Amino acid sequence: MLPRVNDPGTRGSERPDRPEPLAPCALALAVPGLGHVLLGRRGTGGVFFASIGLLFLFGLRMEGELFPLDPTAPLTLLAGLAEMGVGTLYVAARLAGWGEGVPAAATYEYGYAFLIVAGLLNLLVVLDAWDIATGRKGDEAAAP
Amino acid sequence: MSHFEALLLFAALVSPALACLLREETGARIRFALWSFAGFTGFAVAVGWLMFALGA
Repeated sequence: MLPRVNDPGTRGSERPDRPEPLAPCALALAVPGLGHVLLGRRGTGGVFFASIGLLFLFGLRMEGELFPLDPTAPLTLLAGLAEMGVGTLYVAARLAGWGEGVPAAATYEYGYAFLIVAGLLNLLVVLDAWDIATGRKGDEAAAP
Repeated sequence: MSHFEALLLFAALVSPALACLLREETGARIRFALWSFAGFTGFAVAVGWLMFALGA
């Protein structure tokens, strides 16, 4: 059972059954769209999962690279952090040995662009889940 | 995969996600996704022709 927010003084706490905002954010970070499913927005969560998941998979298929977290190369470090935004997909790809990247491939640049955008898009999804969970955006019962 | 196919794929995958982030109602989301898709592809094609013209 998820912890609930019941403090009447906090914004967005009009609904006493609203889940603790950290739970949907953590789930959204782990699996794209899962946070929205927890918030009752199954359709939206499905769109996020399909869009971000396919972006990530096509990025790998296009020989994109999962960049290492190398502090001596700031741009590479930022790209790697952005790619980590897809959560479990990133971990699974790393464990499977995918995402080595083939710079000689014609689609290499497209591939890592897809991977980076997938990660950044999922970070936006996490923030969206936070806004919904705290009541700053919409009513989850009314949205698809 | 050609440059244009990659562009279409990117636009087709990113537009629905942006629509769900930025619009609430289903109809508004569909319209936003279509406009976003058209914007991605149209702008890229326009910039491509501009680069071709400037490079000629």
